Amino acid sequence: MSRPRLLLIDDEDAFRETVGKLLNHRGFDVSTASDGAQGIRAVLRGGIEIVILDVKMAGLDGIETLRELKRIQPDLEVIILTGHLLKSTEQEGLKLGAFAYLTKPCTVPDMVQTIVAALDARAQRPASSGAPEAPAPRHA
Amino acid sequence: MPRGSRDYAPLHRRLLRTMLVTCLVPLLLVGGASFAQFHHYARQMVLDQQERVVLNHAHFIDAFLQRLRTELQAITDHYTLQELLAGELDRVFGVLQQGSGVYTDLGIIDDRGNHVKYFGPYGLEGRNYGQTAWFEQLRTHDLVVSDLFLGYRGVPHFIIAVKRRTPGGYWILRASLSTDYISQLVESIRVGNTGEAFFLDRKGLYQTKTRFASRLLDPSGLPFLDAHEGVRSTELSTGGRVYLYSDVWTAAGQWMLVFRQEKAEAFAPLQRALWTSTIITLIGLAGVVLAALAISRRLVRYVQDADTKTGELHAQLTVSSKMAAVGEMATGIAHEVNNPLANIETLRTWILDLVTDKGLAAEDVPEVIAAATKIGDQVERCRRITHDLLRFSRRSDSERVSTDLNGLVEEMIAMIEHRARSENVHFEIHPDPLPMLLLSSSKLQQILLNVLNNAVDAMEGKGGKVKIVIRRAGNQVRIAISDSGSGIAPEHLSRIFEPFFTTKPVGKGTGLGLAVCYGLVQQMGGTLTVESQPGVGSTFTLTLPMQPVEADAAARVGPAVSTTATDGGAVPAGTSS
Repeated sequence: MSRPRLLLIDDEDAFRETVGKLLNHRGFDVSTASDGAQGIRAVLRGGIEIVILDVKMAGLDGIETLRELKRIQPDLEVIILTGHLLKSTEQEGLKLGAFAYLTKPCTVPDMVQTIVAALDARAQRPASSGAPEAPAPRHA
Repeated sequence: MPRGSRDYAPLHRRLLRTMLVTCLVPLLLVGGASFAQFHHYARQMVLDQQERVVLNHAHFIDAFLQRLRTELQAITDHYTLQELLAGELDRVFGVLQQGSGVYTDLGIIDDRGNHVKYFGPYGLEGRNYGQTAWFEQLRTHDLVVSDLFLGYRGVPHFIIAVKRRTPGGYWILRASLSTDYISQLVESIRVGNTGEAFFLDRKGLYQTKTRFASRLLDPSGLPFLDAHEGVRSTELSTGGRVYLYSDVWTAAGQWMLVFRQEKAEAFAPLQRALWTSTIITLIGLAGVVLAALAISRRLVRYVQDADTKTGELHAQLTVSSKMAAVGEMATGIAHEVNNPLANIETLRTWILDLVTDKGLAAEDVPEVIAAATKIGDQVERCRRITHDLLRFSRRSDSERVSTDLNGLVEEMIAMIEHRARSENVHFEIHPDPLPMLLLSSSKLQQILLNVLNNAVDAMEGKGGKVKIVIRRAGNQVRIAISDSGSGIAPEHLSRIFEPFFTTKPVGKGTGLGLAVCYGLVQQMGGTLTVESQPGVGSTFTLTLPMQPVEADAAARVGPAVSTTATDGGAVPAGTSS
């Protein structure tokens, strides 16, 4: 059984590294990208089920990246994880189809719970064309 | 915060000058005009009075001479020559003397000029007057009034002669009159100390005694002996004194009656009136000056009060703007603090993972140590952010302290950098080696923070570069902050420093930032200017007077430096990120 494939897009090296280790440890296959453009390229390569996305980034910011991701792969679930506490950003993100809006700092269990919920939502949806099968993750 | 004590003396002087000019000029103009008018009328009045005196006396003289003529003609009409020669002359003289008593003597002269009969004190019977001027005149006239002359008697007198025509020729009744009577007549005209009247003949010789010195028949030397109608007035300077003359020809053009008075005396009442009005005017002027002083002083005090109130208001505005700046910063700072916190949380969980999964394995110890060290780094990051914030909020005093300008600029950039980095805005600083400067670092911080924040805002999230150039220019220092942002529309450029003017969306900007900056810069004695080109970017140029800290003062370390010092020097300013 293949592990669910996650993509973590965040411009902070330390955060990417630690979260990568933690989620790998919890049975996810985590790849990382340091900005929006890199993230989009990773998604285009295929196989990504869930994207965890920062908002404030140099270059393409989180909201623009989200819009682009949803355009190229509408069934992709995107979880926004940001230290940016603006209500307007949250509303915009959700309107664009983000699965959830998490704020930093958030606990790892919260993060995992949201990822699992996103995977469930994805699994319950009628399989769309070309969407890879969503295997059940191993819970922490 | 107390405003720099402004010098109100120039304002006071300007107010006073304006008030005095606007009050005094019309007053002096009106005063001068009425003075001139008054002088004119008063002079006219004096002359009118003088002319009236002259005219009245001239009429009187004419009437008097007319009476003498009438008397003498009456005698020639009522008596025949024979009767008079026979002795009636004595009786007639007696009657005449009873009447007017002005005659000195009376005589009858035949047509050859022989004094055929004489009654009087001088014994002139038998004298011949054939060659005299008055006798010559009688050939063509029926009446002659002579000038004053000495004649045979050697005493000044004048004569009236009446011609009586007879079928065979004519004879003449001649009366001589003592000058006393005429003299008394004109000499009775005395006005004040210098006013007097006298007669002149056609040659300008005195016919009557004058009040001062001149003797009878002396030449008067007066230049106005030409024939003229009516009374005439002349102003003439004689012997260093100015006299007003009024003259009129009388006695059928034989004598000129002259009245003169020293001008100073004639105008004395006028002069007194002038003094009075001058004193009143001076009192008025003094009143105006005092009122102007009082009003201008009160106005200046009013302006001073208003300035104080404005200063207080400005201080409040500065505080509100500072709060707004802090509020704006809070959003960015929350983000900045949340990031290390997120790291700390994930590292904490990672350590727990390592420890709880299978018990801490020996090979995992370096991993735990690395994670704990990273937690320390993240805590340090948070500490730096909160310190920046504290440093900004703590410095509220406007005291001038020894400041490293380059360092302060870098410090402020460091504060903005939290926010700018995430918006992909980069800073490029060109410092200038400057000595420690004496300036209000808290004001300068607020100005820089505002302008830098605006520079970042101007990028509108598209990222860009903010260039800061610090340059010494003579005894000034210039900080130019250029952004590569959207620029400012020309119609907004002129209003950019107005309070509450903002182009930011509602809730994003207070519109106070630049207005407050402008005020702060003015308080620091500097200028803040802006140049902008829409689509290219804007440059805010802050120019401040440069006052280097003197050698001894440099030893006393100001708060700007001490704050950095108490940080332990662990974090060099401007490297936070």
